[in-house]
Amino acid sequence: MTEDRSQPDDATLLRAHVDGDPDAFADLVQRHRDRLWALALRTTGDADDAADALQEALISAFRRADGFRGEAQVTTWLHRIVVNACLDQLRRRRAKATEALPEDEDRAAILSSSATIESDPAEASEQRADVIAALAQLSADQRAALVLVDMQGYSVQEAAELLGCAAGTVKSRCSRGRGRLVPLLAQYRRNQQAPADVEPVTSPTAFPTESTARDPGATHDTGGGTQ
Amino acid sequence: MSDGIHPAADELADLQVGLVDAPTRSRLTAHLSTCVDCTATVAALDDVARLLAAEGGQPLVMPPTLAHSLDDRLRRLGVERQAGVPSLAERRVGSGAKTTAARSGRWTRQAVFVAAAAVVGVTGVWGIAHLDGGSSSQSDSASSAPADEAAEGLSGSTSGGSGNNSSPHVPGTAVMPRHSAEHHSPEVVGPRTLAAFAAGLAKTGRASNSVPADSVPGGTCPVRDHLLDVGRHSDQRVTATPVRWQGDLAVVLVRPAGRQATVVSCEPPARRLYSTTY
Repeated sequence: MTEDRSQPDDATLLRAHVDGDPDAFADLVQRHRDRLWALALRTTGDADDAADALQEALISAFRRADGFRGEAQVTTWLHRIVVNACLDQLRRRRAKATEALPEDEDRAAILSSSATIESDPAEASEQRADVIAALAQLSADQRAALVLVDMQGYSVQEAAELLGCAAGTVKSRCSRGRGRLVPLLAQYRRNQQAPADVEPVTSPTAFPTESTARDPGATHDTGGGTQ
Repeated sequence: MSDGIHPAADELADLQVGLVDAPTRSRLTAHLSTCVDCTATVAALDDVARLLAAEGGQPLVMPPTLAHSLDDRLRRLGVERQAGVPSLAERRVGSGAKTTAARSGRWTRQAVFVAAAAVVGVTGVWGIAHLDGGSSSQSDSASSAPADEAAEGLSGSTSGGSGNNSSPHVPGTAVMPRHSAEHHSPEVVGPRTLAAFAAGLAKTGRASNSVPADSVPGGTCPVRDHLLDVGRHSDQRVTATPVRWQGDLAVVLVRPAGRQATVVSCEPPARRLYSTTY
């Protein structure tokens, strides 16, 4: 390639790949791999699923690169392929309903442990684990919308294009997702503050999210710290 | 508390992003003006968005093993494409049904079967193991690409009805004749001794079905079981012999017709560890 390969931009690398450069695509992926991993891990909520989906997505992207028309950023194009591979992976997983899913707490532990934070105060760390665990409770579609919009910072319109659905659908998935997260997070917080005489709830799936949402009084009374 | 019935949090969330109709909006805003709890819920919704944004800002690092295997695989694909070598996946006819198990490395007997079949070539892809190296004499060890490609070929092979292999047999005594008199311990074989070992096998006729399935310490080797089954239903003669290869259990596949010997790992995924001629 004639371009300066010291710091070629993404589009240049992708073009080089389409033109036959054997290493350009791997270089491109290497540059973005942590972000792509974060996206896959957050969208699937499971490290194995994320790894599977990511590999499938990137091999597919390798082969479909000549279809990239430059109308979006290369990273957006990659993100679209990864998110959709993740959702496919989750659909396949759901179809194989007999296979037991790992405990949500385990999954949350995996997710939060792959983070690289040098010094993370215990409280912040707990809160992060809560967010991840609660996120894992959502439907795949709600989670994908929240991951893109709230976590990755895409606009609703961009997320809709990425997911191949209407903007209103993304909006609604986000708001429903947030709506479900509120009681889940409140419950986790209450769990942490629970005194010894309160029966511990170990599985987040046991939480009647709908009823706590409809009766916020319950959310505030059990913790014993409101008034 | 106000009037007893609180709106659900997701209704309030819809209100926040403007997804509710006018009557609902009036009802909800009226309720919010008198209800401390629901006002708190709205604040909590903002908190959720803030927490998600904070979490989204946290860097995650791809696990090094995944990063390496991904990088290795993409570079290999790049080299193969440059060399004009179509991968097995590209050569298969139609994409067929996808099989999560094979792609993900979650091990199934069917995946073993097809991976093994691809290595041995009974489905007509014997050459695949040598395409990347361009030479049949030796290949790099510890490369997972052929197994990966074999795994990708799973959908093509199983859904495409590749001849006599489209329905894997459940392994059992019918597949594997047991000669309890001949319990061998797996021989230790390495890159330098493989050719001689394979030649010895061919000469002495210590062929596949003379090795009982339960002769392998710690259980049977699924790769070998399936290969024997494949060999039985193929016109190509293949022998499979368990060995110790660099400390691990592996199987030496010998195809006398091509005087070729291939070492395949018994551990999933069934990677081709080494190939040689003898």
